[in-house]
Amino acid sequence: MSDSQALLSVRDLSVSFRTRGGLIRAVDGVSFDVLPQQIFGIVGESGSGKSLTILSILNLIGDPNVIIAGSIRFAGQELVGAPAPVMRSIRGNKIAMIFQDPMTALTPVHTIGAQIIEQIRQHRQLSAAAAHQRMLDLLDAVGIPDPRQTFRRYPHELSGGQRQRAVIAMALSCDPALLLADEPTTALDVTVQAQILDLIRDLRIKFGSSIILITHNLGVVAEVADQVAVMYSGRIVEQANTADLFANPSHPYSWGLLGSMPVLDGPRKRLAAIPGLPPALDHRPPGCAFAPRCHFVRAACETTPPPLRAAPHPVACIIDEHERTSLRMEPLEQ
Amino acid sequence: MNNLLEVRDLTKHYTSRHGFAGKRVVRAVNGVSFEIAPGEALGLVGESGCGKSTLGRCIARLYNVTSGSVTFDGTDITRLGGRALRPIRAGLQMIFQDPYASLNPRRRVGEIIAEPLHVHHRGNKAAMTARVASLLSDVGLGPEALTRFPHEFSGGQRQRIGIARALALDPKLIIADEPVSALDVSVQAQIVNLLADLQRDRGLAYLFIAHDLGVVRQIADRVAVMYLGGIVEIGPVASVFGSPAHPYTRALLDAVPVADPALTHRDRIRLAGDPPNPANPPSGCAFHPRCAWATAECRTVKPLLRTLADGRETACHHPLTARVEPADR
Repeated sequence: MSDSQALLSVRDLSVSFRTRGGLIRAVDGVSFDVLPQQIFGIVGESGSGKSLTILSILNLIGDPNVIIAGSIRFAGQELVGAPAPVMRSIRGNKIAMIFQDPMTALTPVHTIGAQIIEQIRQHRQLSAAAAHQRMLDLLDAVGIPDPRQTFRRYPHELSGGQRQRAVIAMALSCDPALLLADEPTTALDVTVQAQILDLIRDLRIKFGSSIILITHNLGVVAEVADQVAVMYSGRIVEQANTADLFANPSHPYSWGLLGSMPVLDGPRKRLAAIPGLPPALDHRPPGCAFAPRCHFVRAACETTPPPLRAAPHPVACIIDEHERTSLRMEPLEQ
Repeated sequence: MNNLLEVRDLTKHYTSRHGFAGKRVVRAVNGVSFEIAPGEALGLVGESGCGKSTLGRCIARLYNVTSGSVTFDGTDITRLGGRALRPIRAGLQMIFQDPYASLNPRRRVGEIIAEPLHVHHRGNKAAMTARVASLLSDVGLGPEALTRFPHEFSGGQRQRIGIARALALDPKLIIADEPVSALDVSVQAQIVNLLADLQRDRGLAYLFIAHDLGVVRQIADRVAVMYLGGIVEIGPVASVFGSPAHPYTRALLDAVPVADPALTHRDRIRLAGDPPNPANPPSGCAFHPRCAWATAECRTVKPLLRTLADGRETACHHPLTARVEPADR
């Protein structure tokens, strides 16, 4: 995968917080590429650094005690340390973002139509009439029923699913090359979540956007993502295309996540829960961050960071591919 | 009659003032009946606003009931109040969704778990201390937790504290309202396993309210599916999830994202639109505006729960299992 092909190239990204106790690295050496029109999933639990990773792409962490280091190249342009006017021309225009709670992106005091038009005219020199038409087209494209009536509504008059559609319409208003979606369906009911996931799948065809989708739900990733990165304690521990990740999950943390998910078919089995909790970021173990919870932990895991293996896909674990097959069966037999 | 819990025709209406237009009645729970046997886990699933939490709180008598009856362990508790409810509550406890909001931040964990014992005058001080310590170890926490405050614990650990408090009086029934939905996947699995172990070891009965069908399948013996204040299907988990009879049950199951990319393009029902407003329910079957199989009958006649050949009940004029095999559709 060469950088020239990638729309977004993140290299050795780290996000640190300055605290009284010293620097805390919440994101630690993250690298990945997003190709044009690709849906790139980032999976992880709370505190894994997945949200900070995409917030740093847009430089949206407005805290002076946060230090972003490494490189984020978007369409050939370096975003880390880019001046504010450059970031302003990119945010909402070339890279847009949707959040878990649509109300964080909508103001309650304006109609959704007005809010979308405002966004369009911020970045595009369009007449009022043309912007209005564009807004109606966008509402239609995201599946809002009867846009000519609905655009007059205020956010509180819409259901959660419709609000999320309105926010997606707003995010798409400038044809962004990259859409960042942070848990876009987590607050929604499962039947509405299915509708929004269908919409996200359609978007890259209709709008040709690449999408980075953050979720804690491996099911959501399996449904929509082309490529997946699994994050744990600020690091990517495994990265693969979706089919490969679910066919050959290779990191013990990925095994644990899969084993923790209740399934809807097959015999009812006890969940293979991961014991314990993720480490506090200021007390991350010196070796592999997952070692204290790992069923397969060895002496070396506790002292030295795990090697990054390339086969069958990038995975940061001491277990090599020959051992892996036999080991993975062990916890299931307990 | 050896049911632990019997709910008959339970109805809970709220009246909301609507500007100058007068009052509007929201039918949150509408004529719900079911029972739970001792030691049985009944799952209650449905989307937000379907009335599942209201139903749970009516049964726990945290809310007053509009009409119908709740019988717990042979006693009609529908109209009991205050002091008369107290002995009932010893046998019927709740676990809440938000482990951050349901524990008093100013109390130490030992005091939180001992409080039900104080209220119900269970034993002397030494007996209580021993009881609290054994409860903590039952839920997987060490004795060092006793003197700590809730904020010192993670979400999963706080949920364990809430479970220990609910177990303090040896209840027969626990109403668990979304007990794991605020937790991360790996921690969620720990708590689901704990709840399953407790049911097995102590013969607890659960009313397990959740929107996550996978979690419900992991715990429940039977499952009830709610839509807009009413039960649309109820029966053993294996049959309801294995071959849903109500189109809504089928759509709910189909909507769950599956962690297997090979299955993502399977033949599925997609519901359009949102659940209707309980203040203004559709005529006939409440589900008919979103149902692919709706007929003229569905638009006018409200279907009642009826028993199918395999013993489960469904409120549908045209249950799916009585007709074509899913593969033929």
